Amino acid sequence: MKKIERIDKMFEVLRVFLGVLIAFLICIIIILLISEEDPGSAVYNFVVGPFMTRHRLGQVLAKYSSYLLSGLGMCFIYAAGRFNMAGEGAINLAPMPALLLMFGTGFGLNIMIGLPQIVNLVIIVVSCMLTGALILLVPAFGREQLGANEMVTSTIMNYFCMYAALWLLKGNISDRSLSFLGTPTYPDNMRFTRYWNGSNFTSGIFVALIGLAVALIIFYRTPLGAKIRICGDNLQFAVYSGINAKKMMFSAQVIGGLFAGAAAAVEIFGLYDSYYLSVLTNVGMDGLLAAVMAKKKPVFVPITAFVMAYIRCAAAVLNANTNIPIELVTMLQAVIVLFVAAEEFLGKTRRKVIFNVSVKEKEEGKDGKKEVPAGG
Amino acid sequence: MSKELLRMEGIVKVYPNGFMATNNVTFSVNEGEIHALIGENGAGKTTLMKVLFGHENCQEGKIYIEGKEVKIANPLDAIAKGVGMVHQHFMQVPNLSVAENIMLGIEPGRGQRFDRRKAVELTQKAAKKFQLDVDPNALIRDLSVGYKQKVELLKALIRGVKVLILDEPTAVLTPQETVELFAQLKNLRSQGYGIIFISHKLEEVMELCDCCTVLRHGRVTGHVDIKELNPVKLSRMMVERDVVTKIEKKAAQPENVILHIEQLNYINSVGKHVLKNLGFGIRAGEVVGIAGVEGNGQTELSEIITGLSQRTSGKIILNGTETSGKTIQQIRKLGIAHISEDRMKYGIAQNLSIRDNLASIYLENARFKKGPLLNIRELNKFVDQCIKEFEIACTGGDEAIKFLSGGNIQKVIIAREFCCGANLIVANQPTRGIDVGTSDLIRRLLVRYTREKGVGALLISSDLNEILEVSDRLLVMKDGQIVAQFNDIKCLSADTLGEYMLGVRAMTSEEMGELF
Repeated sequence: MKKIERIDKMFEVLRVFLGVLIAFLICIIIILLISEEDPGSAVYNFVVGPFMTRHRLGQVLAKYSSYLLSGLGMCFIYAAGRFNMAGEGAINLAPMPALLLMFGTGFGLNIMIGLPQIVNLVIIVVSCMLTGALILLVPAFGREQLGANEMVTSTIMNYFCMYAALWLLKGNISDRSLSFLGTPTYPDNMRFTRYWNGSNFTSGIFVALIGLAVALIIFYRTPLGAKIRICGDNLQFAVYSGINAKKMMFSAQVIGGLFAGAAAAVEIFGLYDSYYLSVLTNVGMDGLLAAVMAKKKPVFVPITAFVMAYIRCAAAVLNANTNIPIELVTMLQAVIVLFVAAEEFLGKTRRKVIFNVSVKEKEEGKDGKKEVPAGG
Repeated sequence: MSKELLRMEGIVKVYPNGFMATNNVTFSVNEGEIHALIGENGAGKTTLMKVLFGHENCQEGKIYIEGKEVKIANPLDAIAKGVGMVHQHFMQVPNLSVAENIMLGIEPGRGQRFDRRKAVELTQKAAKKFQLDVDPNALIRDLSVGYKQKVELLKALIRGVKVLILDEPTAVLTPQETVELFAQLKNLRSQGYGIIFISHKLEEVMELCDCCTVLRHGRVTGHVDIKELNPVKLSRMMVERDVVTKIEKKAAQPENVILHIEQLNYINSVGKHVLKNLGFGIRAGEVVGIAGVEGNGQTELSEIITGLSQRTSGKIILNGTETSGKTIQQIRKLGIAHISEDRMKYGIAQNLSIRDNLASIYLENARFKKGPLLNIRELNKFVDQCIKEFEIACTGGDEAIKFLSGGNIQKVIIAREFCCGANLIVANQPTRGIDVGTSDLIRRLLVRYTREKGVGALLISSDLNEILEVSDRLLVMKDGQIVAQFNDIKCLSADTLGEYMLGVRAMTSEEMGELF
C-alpha cells in the first residue's frame, strides 16, 4: 500500500507543478504572439525579471510576506470547509483603527511619535489582527448562526470594507494638502523598516515568518488545529467524536481573520508610505489562491505564496519594460487555478499507473506465495 | 443446454486507491438459471456486478449479452441492454406511490402529462404477469422491506430486462419473507429469466440456485453445479479454511446497571413514531444483543443513546446521570463508546492520517496535552500501541486512512473506541462488510471487555449468527418496541428468532421478565 500512496502523492505534486508550468508556457507563447518589438526580451523580462535587481527582488519578498500571511489564514478557513473570503476586504479595512489612532487622536500624534518603533509596530499589528478577525466574524456569524452562505456574504463584505475604509479615511484622517485621497506619510517609527536602500523589502517579513511558525504549530500540533482539520474533512465524524463543530468553524474563521489582519499590517505599513487605497488589493484573493494551490496544507504555503508573489512581480516588470499589459497575469492566474483546481487533470494517467503497479504487486505477491511452499 | 444469456470475460477492475477488486474474472449466466455468486466480504462480488450494471468501469475485459459484445456505460444503458439490478439499498422515492416509482423514467402519457391511470394499469398487468402481488397505489414509505423488494423487482422486470442481479436480497428479510422471495424467483426462472444471486448464506444458495461461482480475493476459485455440492465443500471454496468462529466465553456475571432507558419515544422528521415507549437496561459485564429486521428503530436507538439524535421524550440514565440536553462530548465523558453502523460517514475522516483519526476523541484528554499543545510523543506512542495491539495493517500512523482496507479502517475505529475507558460500548453493525478475521477479532474483544473490564455492551446486528454467539441477553426489536427477551441464548434457533422479528410471535411483559 505504501507504494500506491506514494504514487498518489507524487501525482498530486506533479499536478500542481505541471499546472504552473503549463500556465507559464501558455503565457510565454502569448507574449511571443502579442509582443511587437522584441519577444525574446519580453520573455526574458517575464522569466528572470523579478530577480534581476535587488529592488525587484525586494518587491517579490514584500508581496511574499503578505501572501504568506493571508494564505496561511485561508488554509485554516479552507481546512474547516468554509470559504470565507472577507480576508480581501480586511486588507483595506483592518488598518483603519491603527490609522485613526495614529493620525486622528492625541495619543497617536503626541505619544506614539515618541515611542520606540517596536512598540508602535506591536500596536499596529495587533489592532490590525483584531479588526481582521472582527471583519471575518461577520460572514462567519451569518453562516453558522443564520445559514447564509459565507461565500456570498464575504464577497459582498469585501466591497463594504473597501468603501467603509474610504469613508473613514475621507472624514477623519485624510491629508488635505495632497492632490489625492490619502493619509499623511507614516512617521518612521510607525512603519516597517525598508531594507536594501529603500526597497519594498521590509521588516514585515519577520511578522510573516513568525506567522508561519505559529500557523504550523496551531495547525499540526494543537488540539484546536486537529479539531479544525477533522471538522473540515468530515463534519459528521467531528460531531460523532464530540467536537463542538460550530465553535471550531468560528475559531477557524477567527484565525483566518487574525492572519488576514496581520497581512494587512505588513502590506499597508510596509509597501506603502501612506494609506491611499481606493480599490481592492487582491492580496486576500492571491492568498486564497496560495492556499488552494497548497491543498489547504500550511506546510506548502511558503512555496505557493512565493509562486504567487513571483508571478505578480514578473507581470509588473513586464508591464514596465515592454508593451505587454499587466492584465496578462490575471490570465496566467486563471490558467493556474484551472489546472490546480481540476482534480481530473492527469487523472487518467494516475489511475493507469496505479492500475499497473497493483497488477505488478499482485503478480509479485503470487510468485512470493508460490515460493513459500517450495522453500518450506 | 439452454442458451447463454450473459457472459463476462476477463474482467479486471482496480479502484483508484490501488485495490484490485477483480482479477481476470470470467462469469456466465444461462437462460432460466439462478446463478449464485458467493464469496467472503471483499471478494469482488459487488464490484463485478457494479461493472456489469455500469456503476463502475473496468480496465480490462469484455461483456457479451446474448452472444453480442456490449459496452455498458451506465445503469440506464445496462437496463436498455437487458440487465437489471435489485440493490441492497432500494432505489426508491419514499413519498411516491408504487406505480409512480415503477414508472419513474418511463412514464406513460402524452407530452409532459403523466397518465396516472395508465401507470396503475400497467403496474397491475405486470404484477399479474410476474406474480408479484403489489398494490399500485400504496406509498413506498408505508411498505415493509419485503414489499419494497417486490417493487424493486417489478421495476426491473417492467423495463424488459432478461438478466436480474440481486445483491444480498435476503440480508434485510426475515426468514418468512425470504421464503416468499424464493418462490417468486423460482417462478421467474421458469419464465426464462437469468438471475444472479449474491449471498453469504450457504443454505440459501443450496436451496435456490442451479449453479454457483465462487470468488475469493478477486479471482474465481470455483464454478460448480449445485447438485455436486454440499455446504461444507462450498464453505471451503469460499474461505480457504473451515468456518469455525465459536467464541469460548464464560457465563456473564452482570453487576450494577450502567444504562437505563425508560419510556423512550422518538418521532422522526416525517412524523413517523420510530421508538415507542422503549425501555430496557444494560448491566456491567454483559453483552446485550438487539436483533430485529433493519429499520425497526435500531439505528435511531443507538443514535439517541450516543447523543447523535435528540429523543422526543423519555429517560436515558447513563452511569447515574440523565443524558438529556447533554452534548456528545459530555455524554462520551460519562463513559460511552460508539461504533457507528456507517463507518465512512461517522467513523472516520478519510483524508486525514490514522493518527488524526485515532486522536479525534482524545483531543481534550490530559494525557495527550502539553500546555496548549498536543503531546505528539505521547500521541505517537498511543498510535503505535494501537496499531500493534489491534493488528492494523499499515505503514505507520502518518498514512492516510483512506488507503486502508475496510477491515483495517474498522480496526482503527475499534482501537479508538475500545481504548477510551468507557464502560458502555454501543456497537451498531460492527462487522458489516468486514472480513472474517476482523469480525472475529471484534466479537472476541466485545466478549473480553465485558468479562475482564466490567464493561457493558450493546450489540445491534443483523447478522443473526453473530448476535446469537456474542450476546448474553438478547432483545428483539419490532416497530420501535422490545417484543421479546431471551436470557438463555443457547436454546434459541434462528427460526424462532425470525418469528419474533417478523411479529408472528410476541412475548408479554411477564414472559420477558425484568429488562433492567
